Amino acid sequence: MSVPQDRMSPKERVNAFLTGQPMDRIPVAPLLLNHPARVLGVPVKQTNTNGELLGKAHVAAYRRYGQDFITILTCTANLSEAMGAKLFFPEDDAARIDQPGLKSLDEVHDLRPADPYKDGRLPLYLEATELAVREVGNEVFVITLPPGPITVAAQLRGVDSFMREIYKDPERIHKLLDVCTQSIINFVDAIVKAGGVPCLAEPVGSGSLISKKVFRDFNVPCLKRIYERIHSYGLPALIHICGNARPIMEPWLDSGPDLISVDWPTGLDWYAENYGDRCPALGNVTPADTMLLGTPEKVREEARVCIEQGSRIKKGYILGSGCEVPLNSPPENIDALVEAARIYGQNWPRPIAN
Amino acid sequence: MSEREELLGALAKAVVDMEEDAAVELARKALDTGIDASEVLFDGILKGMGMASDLYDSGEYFVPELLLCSDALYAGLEVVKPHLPKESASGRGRVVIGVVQGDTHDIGKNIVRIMLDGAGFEVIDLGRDVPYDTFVNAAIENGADIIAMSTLMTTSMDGMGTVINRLLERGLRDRFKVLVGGAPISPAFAKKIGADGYARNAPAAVELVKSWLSSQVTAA
Repeated sequence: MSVPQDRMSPKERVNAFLTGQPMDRIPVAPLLLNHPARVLGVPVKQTNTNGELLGKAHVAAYRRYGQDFITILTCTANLSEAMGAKLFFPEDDAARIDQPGLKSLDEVHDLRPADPYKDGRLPLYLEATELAVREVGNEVFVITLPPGPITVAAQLRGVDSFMREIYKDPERIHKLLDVCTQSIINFVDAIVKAGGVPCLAEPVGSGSLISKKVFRDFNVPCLKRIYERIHSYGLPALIHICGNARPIMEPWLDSGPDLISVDWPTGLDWYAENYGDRCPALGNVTPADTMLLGTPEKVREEARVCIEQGSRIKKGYILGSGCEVPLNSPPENIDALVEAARIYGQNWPRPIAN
Repeated sequence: MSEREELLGALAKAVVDMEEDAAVELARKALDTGIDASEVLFDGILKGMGMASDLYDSGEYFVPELLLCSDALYAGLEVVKPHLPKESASGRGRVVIGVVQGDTHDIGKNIVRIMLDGAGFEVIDLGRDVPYDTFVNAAIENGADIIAMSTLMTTSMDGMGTVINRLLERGLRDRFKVLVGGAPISPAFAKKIGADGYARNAPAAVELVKSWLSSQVTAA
């Protein structure tokens, strides 16, 4: 199979996408978060705890795969960690939460927004962002991901407690979300200053966990504040939500993002049909079954179907993985995803057939 | 409507309406009026939890609502438990459940546990980040019928296969049905590691457990 050569740099391509100009091919965004440690050949704990290595790993992954975005994130607990949650760092896997940050909601009143230059491992993210921007920022956007408000708040309280307190103590949950939102905004400011582009990752604010009403009442006001700050820099508001986003799609879009990244259970066909005229979308090749356990042929075929379905999203579509590309995915599967954009997505966007 | 029906209906409603205090009060009142404890459990508390499960399945309830219903369920259960005949709790079958080693995401597992409790099964919750052998040992010690495992992480999913291999090594594979689930898990993966079943969500897990245990009863 002959694979056409790229005729634009990733940055030119993404800029064309954002301004509605024609592209040589569809942009492609495998969400490489911890896998870059594999490319650099170091245990995951090292990229999770050393900003220089984290940056170098992402640059190495970009040079290896040539995807259209660098996406810097180790785990979505970076902000809750900076605000008091304790993490555990396995030698060769992403960090996970060991203890939530707040023993009770009483502690909300003393909770302060994170300082990205001091707290937790946020300085490490900024260092990695700066390094990647310095090395390859002229040709590719470096995206650094703060978690969304619900995710930070739920991690600070423990997910079970947070879910109950939405009903039992909504006032103080709003207060908690308010402080979390300010933390996110502080992180956004610092990411932009480092030359990066922020993109929210909101695994807990998912339609797999919470209802449309809870999303609307609790998350939308926070998201609007964050987008407003992002827009003040002339940047687009980007956001990824894991799991099934169908139940919360309406309020999610009402919050006003400029590009959403959807996970595999959400379905591109469904999105194109119901919401394709509202917001561009990115997604959603199945992470575990296809990227990790599939063959390059399976990846190419699923990507081809995604492109078919995505081409019907009127506002625009970017090929991507549904969620994080699993750490141990075979490199040839990631190659296959990037290659599929070249094979099946030439001269993008495709005219929409009705 | 008789007083009995009225009380049990109100009790079920308290559970599905997430009203823990009302559930406790109504369960006490039902027992005080002489309604049999098993009826209070099955026709009141568990019926309400069944209604909550249905609302979850149809997309009206989500995790917060279900957790609050389960608080009412467990609070009501505490009231009724001392009055129940000993064997009634385990009559429907026993499940050990946990999140496999290397993963601490347990909200999905908790929802499955709640729904299994709500369906009247006896559930032994091993928690999260559960070592492989703990699943096997706990299943033996508790005389379980089913081992249920969950994970959200692709780096932990192979551990489910490890647990099944440990069962094989110890010659225990036929003693337990193995159920797996979680975001990265697919039917194909479940088959590959030799699990007996896969459930895409909590209601599906309950259905599968029901079908296994009823066929077991029929076979016996």
